[in-house]
Amino acid sequence: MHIHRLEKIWIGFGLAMLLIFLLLTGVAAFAMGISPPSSSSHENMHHGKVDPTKLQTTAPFDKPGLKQIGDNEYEAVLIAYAFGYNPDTIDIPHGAKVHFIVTSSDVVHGFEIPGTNVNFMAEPGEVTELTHTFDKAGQFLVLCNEYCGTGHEMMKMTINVK
Amino acid sequence: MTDTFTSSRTRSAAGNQPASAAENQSASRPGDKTAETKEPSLKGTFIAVMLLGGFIIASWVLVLALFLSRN
Ligand SMILES: [Cu+2]
Repeated sequence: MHIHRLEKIWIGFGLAMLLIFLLLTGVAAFAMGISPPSSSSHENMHHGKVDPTKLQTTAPFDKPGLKQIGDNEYEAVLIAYAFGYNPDTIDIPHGAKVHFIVTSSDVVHGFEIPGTNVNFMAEPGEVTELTHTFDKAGQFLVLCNEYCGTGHEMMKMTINVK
Repeated sequence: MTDTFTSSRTRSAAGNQPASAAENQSASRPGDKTAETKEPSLKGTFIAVMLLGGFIIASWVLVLALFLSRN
């Protein structure tokens, strides 16, 4: 089969692009640990599953809030519900690394800090984890960006970084 | 690059005219030199493919830069 010289060039170009993108994605995922916010490996949780009706008696959601786990490193355990978050305010020291551990007690909610990479879903029965370092001081708004009912637009919480 | 295209187009145009019997005969046989020069110019397609590829690469890099700047 005869292939035109230019056709060979653009097939090679396309294949090279595909390979480079796959390689970079692989390096980011396996060498740098960049992955989508997803299921937890937290103790007491079975592959990031949790019973949304038994959150009051299931660790760590029985005590939602901020917990220090290391040198300027924290765990933020949060429960999204219609129409708010528990707790609705957390204070984080400047420069702290925060591991968000979030679930929902009812329907699917969103968790977004505008202007950052913190943007994920809080689903009933699933535990979502995401780590973010707060380098900038100030007050951050957390919004629900998944339509969850009549009070959806009121659903928010505040993160104070000082 | 432009030269190659111009010359190949000129040659194929010349090949269409029954200039000599020998040339005509060789043009009708598939897979030989003269048949190869008759293939269509893909220059425009090539430019379009490269523009699309450039757009895809630029978008990819832009999204990566946005992700890293917000990290
Ligand atoms: Cu909501």
